[in-house]
Amino acid sequence: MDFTLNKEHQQIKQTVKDFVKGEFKKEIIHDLLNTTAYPEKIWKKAGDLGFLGIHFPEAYSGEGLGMFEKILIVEGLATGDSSVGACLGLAGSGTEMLLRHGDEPLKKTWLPQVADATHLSAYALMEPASGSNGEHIKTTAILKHHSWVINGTKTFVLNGGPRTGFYIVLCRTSPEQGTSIKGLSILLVPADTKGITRMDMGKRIGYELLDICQVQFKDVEVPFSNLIGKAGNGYEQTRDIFNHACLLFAALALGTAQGAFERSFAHVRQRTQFGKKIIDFQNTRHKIASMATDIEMARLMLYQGALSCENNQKGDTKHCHMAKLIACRTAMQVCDSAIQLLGGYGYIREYDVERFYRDAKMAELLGGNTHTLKNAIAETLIGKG
Amino acid sequence: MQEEFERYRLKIRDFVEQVLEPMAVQVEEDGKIPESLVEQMRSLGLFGLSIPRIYGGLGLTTLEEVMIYEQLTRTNACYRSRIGTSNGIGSMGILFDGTDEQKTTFLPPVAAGRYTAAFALTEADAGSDAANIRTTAVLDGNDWILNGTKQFITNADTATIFTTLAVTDEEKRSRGGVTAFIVEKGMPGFSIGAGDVKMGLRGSHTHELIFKHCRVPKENVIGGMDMVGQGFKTAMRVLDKGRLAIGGAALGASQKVLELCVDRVKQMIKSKIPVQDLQAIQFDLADMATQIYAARQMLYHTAKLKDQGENVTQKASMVKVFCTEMASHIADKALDIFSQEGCLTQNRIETFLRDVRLYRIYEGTSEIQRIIISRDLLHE
Repeated sequence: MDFTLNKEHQQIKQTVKDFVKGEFKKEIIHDLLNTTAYPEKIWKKAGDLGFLGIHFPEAYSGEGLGMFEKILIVEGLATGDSSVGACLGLAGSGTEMLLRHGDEPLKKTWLPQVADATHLSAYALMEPASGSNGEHIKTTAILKHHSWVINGTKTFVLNGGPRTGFYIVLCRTSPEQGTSIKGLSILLVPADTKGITRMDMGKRIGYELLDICQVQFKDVEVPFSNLIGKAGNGYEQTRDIFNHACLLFAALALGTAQGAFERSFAHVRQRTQFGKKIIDFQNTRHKIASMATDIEMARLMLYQGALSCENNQKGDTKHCHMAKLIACRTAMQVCDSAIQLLGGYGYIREYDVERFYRDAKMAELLGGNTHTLKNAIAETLIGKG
Repeated sequence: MQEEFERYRLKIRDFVEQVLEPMAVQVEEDGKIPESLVEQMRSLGLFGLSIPRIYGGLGLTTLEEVMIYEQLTRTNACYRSRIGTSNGIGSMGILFDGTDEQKTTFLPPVAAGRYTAAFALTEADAGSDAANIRTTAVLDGNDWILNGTKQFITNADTATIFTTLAVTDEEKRSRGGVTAFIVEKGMPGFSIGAGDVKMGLRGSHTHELIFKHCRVPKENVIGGMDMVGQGFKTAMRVLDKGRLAIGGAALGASQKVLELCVDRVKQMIKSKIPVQDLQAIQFDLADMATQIYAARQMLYHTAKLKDQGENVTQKASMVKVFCTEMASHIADKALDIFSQEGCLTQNRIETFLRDVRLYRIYEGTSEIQRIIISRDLLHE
């Protein structure tokens, strides 16, 4: 089994590295952080370079590559910067639903907008009282003449801000089914439709540059044709793209870990205390060795999960969930160690690693937390998943 | 005496719950504690917990002091930080080694909270390697001239007096060549530099200190001219004492976080989530509670030994490293229990995670603590 990347993949990694070197300037990023502004310019440039529609078919302005290439790129962007990387990696939040289940007209209209960095997309799944998998959804979509009329409130909508072009919304289209997972459907809602109110969810631990919103839909009307996939099939479709979300957050987490590692490794090689470089203390060397080992382990797990998505497969559930579980925990441990390696500087915003730690926690909490992942992994082992 | 202290402890507990905690989110978002709250802290005697009664403080024992910190940290860590240096590293040098005049001049206003005391040891090249400080002090007539820069100094913006360590003999350095001075705000050549933007403890302000030909009178050498060159010993004793305080702070935060998690799980049970779906979380709560119980015994026992006059250097290091690592671990687990909602500042948990992280770094990193502990084990 050859674990080395082929020439094409190495080239992709290098392209991302060059992009990061040219665009992720420290002063620019800290300026964005201090003003809590979306990395607009970097996002547009990423669109130009094809980083936002990596695995969209070329017919929809994509690069026609696969999940493996996507996670290579996302990891590289997060290594460059955990917060900017998250914005770029999550720019197409929910587009996997469109890719897998949308019809041709919907895909042709909306996917290019994301690939070209015209708009962001937002996945509106969770609600204040919903379960982690879409249970107890209360947002309704009632068919009136040839339109769906949507009413409800969604929370933790990533990209629910001003640059969003459309929402991918999980709705209850058959209210007679009660609060069960049956009777749910996915609808595409253009962001400029009347009746949508967005509210930022306030200060949080990480992903500072991302808009995370509560979105209220009040008598929002969309054409019948905005149904993505089959009516009543919403829950299954949500489950269907979960593996993809696992891999995306795993790639962000892994890149965050790698970025924290590189920064702290560089620091301990130049910082002197007690008459020697910090790297020359055995404890430091063992810490570095552990961090590097955990990162490589997580990377192989991520690659395994991503490769199971080859040829547009929805991926192996066990491996995709394991990849997220390991990558996120590794990111937390590595970033925590990185802070410690920097000493007092590790606690100072200017030195970045504390932000990588906070962003790592976001990756661990979003897109399926540790608890949810372990439940799902166990089910695959027992034979239910 | 015990009843009196217990009344005080409960008073502080109520103060935290009714006054400090309701303001916690705002303090976090503003990055500052309103002066009205600081004034209430003054009138409760919080600035003079460890200062003897003869100087206007409460003269608490070590055990009593850490029990108060345990209460005070059931909210944002910055409140304890505001009084921490006045009770600890900022003032203890004067209490341990100061002249009678220095004690009677400075300790009463510190205890009353009118003066805040800060501790200035750390520099850009002297973190864990405190002996590597570069700030110098040269005698010139009746004054010492200080030159250098200090970094990450807590409460620099509100402090009136700064226990400052400077090299007075370049040959001897930490072995008899470092002196502790009381530098006062407003002394010529002394200025406060840029403030740090930190991961947490946002309501607690740390700054650079700049000494540029700063004139400090001879009278301000801690312990007088006889103590010139003895400052490093003073500094180490002061830091030694601080470890139990940090242990108390970490313990208080952990306990509060556990209680928030327990409330959360009770809510989940109330909203009909099947108990079998909560087993993993229940086991997490059990582990948290067990660690906290162990930490509390360790902390209280060590504090008692110290009050009995024993040398607790090694044990205090154990307490610091155990309690602070526990606090990080518990806050992290708590965020998992709160899931997505845990990431929001308004839900409190994430602030605890960011606040407690510094405890494993300052006043002696966990690595330094492990050196102290193992050195003691291997000592012949």
